[in-house]
Amino acid sequence: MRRLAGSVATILLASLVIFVLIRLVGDPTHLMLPPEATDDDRALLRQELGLDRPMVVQYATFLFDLLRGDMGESFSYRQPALPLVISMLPPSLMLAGAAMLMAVALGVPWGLLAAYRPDGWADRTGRVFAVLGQSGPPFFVGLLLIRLLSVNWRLLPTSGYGDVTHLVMPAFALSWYSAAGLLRLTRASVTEALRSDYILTARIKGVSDRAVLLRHALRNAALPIITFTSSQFGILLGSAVSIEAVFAWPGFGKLIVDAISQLDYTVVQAGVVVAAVLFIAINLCTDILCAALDPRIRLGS
Amino acid sequence: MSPLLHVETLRIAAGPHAPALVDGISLELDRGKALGLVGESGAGKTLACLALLRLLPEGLHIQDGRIRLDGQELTALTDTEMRRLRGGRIGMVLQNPLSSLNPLMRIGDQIGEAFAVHRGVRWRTALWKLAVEALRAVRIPTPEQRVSAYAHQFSGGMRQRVAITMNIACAPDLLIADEPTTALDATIRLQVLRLLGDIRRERRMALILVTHDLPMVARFCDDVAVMYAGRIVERGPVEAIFANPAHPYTRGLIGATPRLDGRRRLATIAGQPPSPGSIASGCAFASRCDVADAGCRQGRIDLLDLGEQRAAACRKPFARPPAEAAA
Repeated sequence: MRRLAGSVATILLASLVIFVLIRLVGDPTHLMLPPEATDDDRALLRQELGLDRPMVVQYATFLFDLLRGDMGESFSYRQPALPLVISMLPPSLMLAGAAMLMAVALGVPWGLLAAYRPDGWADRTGRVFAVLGQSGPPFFVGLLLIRLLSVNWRLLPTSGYGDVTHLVMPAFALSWYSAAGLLRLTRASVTEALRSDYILTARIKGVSDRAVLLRHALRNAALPIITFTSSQFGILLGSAVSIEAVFAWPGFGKLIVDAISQLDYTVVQAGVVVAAVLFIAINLCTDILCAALDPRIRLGS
Repeated sequence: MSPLLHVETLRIAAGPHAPALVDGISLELDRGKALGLVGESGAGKTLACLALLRLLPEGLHIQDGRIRLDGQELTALTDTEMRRLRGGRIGMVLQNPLSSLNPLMRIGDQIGEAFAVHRGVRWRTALWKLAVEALRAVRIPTPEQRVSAYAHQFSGGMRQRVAITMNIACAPDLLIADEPTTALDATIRLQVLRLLGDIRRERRMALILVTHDLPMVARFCDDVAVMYAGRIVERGPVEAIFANPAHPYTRGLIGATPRLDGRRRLATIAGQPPSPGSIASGCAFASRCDVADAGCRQGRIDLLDLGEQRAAACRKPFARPPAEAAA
């Protein structure tokens, strides 16, 4: 119950901040009307859009409409803002989800091997990858991939939205940074777990190295890994903006960036509220997953 | 009959030329007997025990020596053979029962793991059934309910019982208990020790009890080995050594033990134990010894047979300082 109240407060706060900020940036009527329009024309349009009223009244109206699921009409697209934002979510979620899967599939096993044999080949290559991954911006990696795989080797389409072949490169470029972070974190947490007494006890029992690593060490290292992964999801959605631009991927990020530059208040507001709800949902899933994994976090025990 | 465990000149160090942390210790232990391994922190007690399991910390190795269990040379076994021996024939209980249990695994699964590894039992229901029996054997009340609990739901004493259960589940010939009661309440200590004693008698299991606690050794062990700076300085039957210690260090340890009658002032041993490699020659204890002379600081002083199964690494066994001798 307290969590729910906290979530609602988070959404309210995020919407309030963006509501005020976007209105400080500029007046959309300048962009909506041709340059030769008069001040009277603009005043009329402001009145029509309800922008002439005090900000407090505007926000109250916004909240009231929000309760009914109405977030107003987009200034530039002339259609309801919320369905517009939601319609752009699937490609972005697909991109971020695929990137996330790749990051986990790459970073976790690699980090595990690096922790198992410090200074072994997995650890050495892993260190190089971690530096490259955390210093190479996703859009740059994306450009390199296009040059290499599409232009030189003609293996994958350069850009666009369609089947899996369109997804591979942007997702990989996006996952690069998170994979490097996951590798480092997995290595660190598994290394720490391997030093603990319960690992020694498992070895004393005669448990094989593989079972010690997977059943005991990885499971205990899983909590920070899961928390980190879910926090990366937000970052992934954020950096998806540049990747969506590089690969011409029609997504949520591109929509919001366009909306900001066009001062399309309603779309930006709808986007922020949707993003906030998304993050809260992801955090909730993370907490549930952690509680399922660690009996000490479980409520009521 | 040959002893169950026979350790000869075991030497542990980080490399062939690095200072030895355990410097050529030799031990014998018969089936069903209990050996107390005592000494200050850092004397090499735990390392010596981990070496028996070939589970030394990263970077440390057995440089020299032989370890035979039932005539089988452990240092020559492959990793897989050694793994079968661990938990199967040798068990070890660690000092802190909370950290030695996996916080995310149910107790039944952790005990069951031993049966899965050593008896090839596959199914969880079968493993839990065995775990319940094992818990019942260490007198955990309502074991049927406790198998599904987690470590944090147990009290300290119960946790140590669970840890003991895990390690004796497959009836090992030798159990090493590394300060098994140090982390426990005083009232629980005796219970845990009695439990270890009972199990030892019932199963004819040999026990190595690592401890600082001399009265505990006097009460629960047959033999005692005193370690100082990586070496055994005195060993023999408990009664004989406690009645009349041969090595000045053993005498100091016994003198530093509080007694209930409280008539005698508690003695201390002045100074600190030397760090590994800092003693070039002579007896490592010479600088703290109250009977040492110039001869004690030269050459290598090996264990000297004193008869009655006793041995001490001292040039002047049974010597007393002049003041005490006069009194």
